[in-house]
Order: sequence, then structure tokens, then C-alpha cells
Amino acid sequence: MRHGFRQAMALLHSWAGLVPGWLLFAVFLTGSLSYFRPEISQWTRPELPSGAMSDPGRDVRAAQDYLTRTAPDATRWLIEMPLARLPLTGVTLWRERGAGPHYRHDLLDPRQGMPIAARATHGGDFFYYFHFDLHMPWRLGRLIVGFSAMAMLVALLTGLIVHRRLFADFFTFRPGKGPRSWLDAHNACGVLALPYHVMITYSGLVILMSLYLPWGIDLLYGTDRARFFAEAGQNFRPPPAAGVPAGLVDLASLMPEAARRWPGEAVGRIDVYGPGDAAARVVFTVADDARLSHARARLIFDGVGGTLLSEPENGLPGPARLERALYGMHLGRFGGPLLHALFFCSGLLGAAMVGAGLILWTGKRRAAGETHPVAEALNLAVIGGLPIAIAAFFWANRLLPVGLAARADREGLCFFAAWMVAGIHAALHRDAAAWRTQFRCAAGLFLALPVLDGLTTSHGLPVSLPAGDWLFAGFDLAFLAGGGGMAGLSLLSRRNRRRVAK
Amino acid sequence: MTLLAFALTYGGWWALAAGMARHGGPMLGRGAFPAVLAPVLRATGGGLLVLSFFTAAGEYGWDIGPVAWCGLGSVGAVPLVLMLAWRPALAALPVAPLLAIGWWLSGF
Repeated sequence: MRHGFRQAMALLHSWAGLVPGWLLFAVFLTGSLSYFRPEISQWTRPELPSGAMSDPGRDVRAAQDYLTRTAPDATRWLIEMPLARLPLTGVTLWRERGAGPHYRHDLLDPRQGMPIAARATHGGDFFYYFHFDLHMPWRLGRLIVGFSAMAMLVALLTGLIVHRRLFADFFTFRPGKGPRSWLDAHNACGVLALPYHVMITYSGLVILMSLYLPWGIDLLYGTDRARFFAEAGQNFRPPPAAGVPAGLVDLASLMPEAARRWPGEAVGRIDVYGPGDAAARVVFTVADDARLSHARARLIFDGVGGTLLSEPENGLPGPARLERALYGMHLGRFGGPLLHALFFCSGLLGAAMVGAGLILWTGKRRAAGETHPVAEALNLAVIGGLPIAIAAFFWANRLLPVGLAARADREGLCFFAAWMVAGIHAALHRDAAAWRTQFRCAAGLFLALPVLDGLTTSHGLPVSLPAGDWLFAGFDLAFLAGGGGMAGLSLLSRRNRRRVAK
Repeated sequence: MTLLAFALTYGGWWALAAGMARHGGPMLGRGAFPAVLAPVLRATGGGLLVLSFFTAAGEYGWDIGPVAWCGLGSVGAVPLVLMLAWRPALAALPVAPLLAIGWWLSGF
């Protein structure tokens, strides 16, 4: 009985892991990059002056001036304050009536209050949106990633049941032994970062739960979803517009109140509902880099008189507080660069676990005389091809002409084109030599990136290192480390082949 | 302080691994693994991990601290596993310098 149960779980584990595995590898890798989303957004805009000191009062005033000038008829404004990680002001507007776009997002240089003069790029947003949206229309990508994450949760739980020697093999890795080594690597990457894997998979599902399990909310709230999100502390529901024009309060004059309520913490974002209307509301939200939970403290002001109306977060119900905490943990914006690096490494361990599992699946069957061409080609296309595609994105950012039309989207196109070339190569050759070719190609692309950076910008390693410019120096060093890692993998696969040949 | 927490985690994993029959011999550089040492090493390892938990909580607070501790634990075990695979006897080398530098940087 016990034996039968474990076998059934092993079967479930291998299919729940294999089918979404190729996608999960990509989600883990691009998701890991997303921990450095603001930094990537800065690296991909090398024209920006680095290390600009921000002055919150001035930044808010500049943003309000800009929005009043360009979008006085919008129904909603959002001002995202500059951070140390990305010293730019994000301004977004929504319009429900009148001429002009229904949605617009700009990045302002806080010192001039004008849109930044930098190359058009999606920056870190490209990997961030890919990791749950896959850049697909409608919500298709989110649904596909969601089903994969559910399978991932099943694979994690069944994996724990199938793993017979969790503690005895805790530190075990025996290299150069074919499928045995891949099983060791799969187990070690899974077990060592198990808290991370469970947290990231579960919290990822929780973040989009209203998409995956909408029926409970529909039953209780009907069509009034906004009320659910307001009660869950996820957004603010403004009163209906009065239809009477009234001047908006000077937002900067509300900053001292926020500073008094949140000593030592900065304002993260300012939402303005109905600017120019007598029923306008202004919502200040605290920055998200100091606390674990995403249940961020808010202050709600009357948008005309500037009187403080309420602080709604204190009465959030327990489940909503848990959801906000899981949300905060998934995003991992707290704790500073060291913690971001730990999250990044844990995410890489997740990708390594999935990758080793995929290679194990085909390797074990090949050792038994079975070949699965589609699975083998997909393994190479994803594990070898995605790092090439990521490197291609960074190359495109430096090489595409600054004035190119639709430049930001073409960077993304380069990512997918490189991935497709790697995929075709993988479909044509699935042997060990093809793996080495792709690893070498990725290694070369990453190792040459610091050189390219030095040639095309004024932030090359010889400049950034002595200047203590850790953003650009850090990226160059990370590219060297990544390239070194890929070169190591190509060496390792060559050595293993020799050993098997003997 | 973060480096001290990392040093304690790595040291903890090292002692736990050295207390296992499979790894103890090669790690301690002897032919046969002395069974008497095993419980001592394992208790030391567990103790160091507990210490690193409190160090991380002291650095990051009680909400972020446990998350940081999990991350340090996962990432700190990786170099140990790699060294056990190729150079088990060298795995002990970083323990003392890491602890010393971590202690010094945290200003005790």
C-alpha cells in the first residue's frame, strides 16, 4: 500500500513537473531578474545622471505642475515618488472622458519636471511583466502561468513525499554520474531553498487569486468588485465625482503631515482621484522598502481643502492582512540590496531545480534506451536558449539606435528572436555538442557585455569601479559572473561526456 | 551583522554535515569517522543555526529577519554542497575567517 502510494506520487510528481516545467524555468529566471527591476530600468537608460539626490517636496510639486499642465481633464493621477533604486518620478493618468489617451505612463526627471530624455526601453518592466503575463494578450499569460504555478505546488508537495532520504541526502551532490548527479542536483536545489520555493509559488497564486478563483467574490459582491478590493485593503474607492470644478490642493503642502505620521519612512506614492473636481480625494501611501507586509499605511485627504479624512489600514481584517503579507514577500522589495541578492539567488536555485528535473526526466529515459525528441529539444531550447535571449535583450538595449521607431518593443523583439533562433538550433541538434554550443554562446554574450557597455556608454568598468558607481559596476560584474557560470556549465558537460565515453 | 549571520549559518551547516557518517570522514580529513564526535557536531550545528536566526532578527527585525534567515540558510548551504562534492576537506577553511570578519564588522 505504502509502496503503491509513493509510486503514484512519483508519477504525479514527474508529470506535474514536466508539463509546465519549461515555462516554470522561464518564470523562475525572469522572476529572479525582477528583484532588480528598478536597477535594470536604470541600467537600460545609461543617459540618466546617476546618484541624483531627491527632495520630496520639490519632486511632488514638479509632478503636480506637469500633470496639471498636460492632463487637467484626467479622472485619476498616480505619482510614484523617486527611490534611491530608481531616482525618477513615475506619473500615470487615466481618462474616462474627453480627448487624449485613456491611459498614459511617463517617467519624469524630478529636477526638471519633464519626461526623461533617455532611450525608449521597457527596462526591468520587460522581465517583470514576462514572468507572470508572458506578454500575451488579454489575461492568457496570467492564466497559463497560474495553472503552471498550481502544478508547481503539486510538484513541490509530491516531491517531498517521493524524496526518500530528505535528511540523509541533505548535503549530497555526486557529480559525473549521469542521471544520479541530476537527481542529486534537483534534490539539493529543491530542499535547500524549500522555504523559498513554497513561499514564492503559493504567494504568486495568492496575488492573482481573484483571477484564478473569482467565484466566491462574485457570489458575495456581485458586480461590485471594487468594494471587495477596497475592503481587502488593495485599493481605494473614491466618492462619485461632484461635477463641480474646484482647484486641487497643493500636494506638497500635505507632505509634512505624512512625515509626522511616518517618522523615518518616505512617501511611496500619491493617488489623486478626480483632480479638479470638488469631490477630489488624495491618498498618500508609505514607501514599500521598509516593511515586509504590503498592507501599506495610507493617509486620505480631502483633495480641495487638504484636511486629513482617515487612516483606513488599521482595521484591515485578518485574511486581508495575510494576503498583503504574502504579496509583500513575493515582491521582496524590503530589506535592501543584500536581501534582494538573497531572493535573486534563491530564485536561481528554483530555476536550477526545475532545469535539473527536466534534464533528469529525459536523461533517465535515454539511459533506458528511450528517446523523447520533443522533450529533449525543449530542454535545450529553454535551459540553453533563455540565457541567450536575456543576454540578447541587454545587447539590443545598447546597440539599437536611440532614435529607432518603436524602439522599446524592438528590444523585446530581439529577446524573442534570439530565443527562437536558439529554439530552432535546439530542434535541429539535440546532442551534447549542441548544449555546449548554446552554453558557450550565452557565455560569450554575457562576458562581452561589459566590453560593449564600456564602448557604448561612459559607464564601463574602468570608469564605474574607481568612481564607486555600484549600479553599473555591479551589472558588469554580474554579467561576468553569469558568463563565467555558463562557461563552467559548458566545461562540465564536456568533461561528463569524456567520462561517459571512457 | 548580515555577514555574521551568514557566517553562523555556514558554520552551522558545516557542523551538521560533519556530524553525518557520510560526510564526516572526508570533511575532517581522517580515514574513519569518529562516532563519538557526531552528536557534539550536530548539536553545535543546530546551535549555530539558532544563533544565526537571532542575529538575522536583530539586524532586520522580527518580520523581515526570519525571511532573511531562510535566504541566508538556502544560499549559504550552496557553497558547502559544492565543496563537499569536490574538496570536502577545504569546507572548514572559510568558517573561522567568516566568523571573525562578521564579528568584527558587527562591532561587538
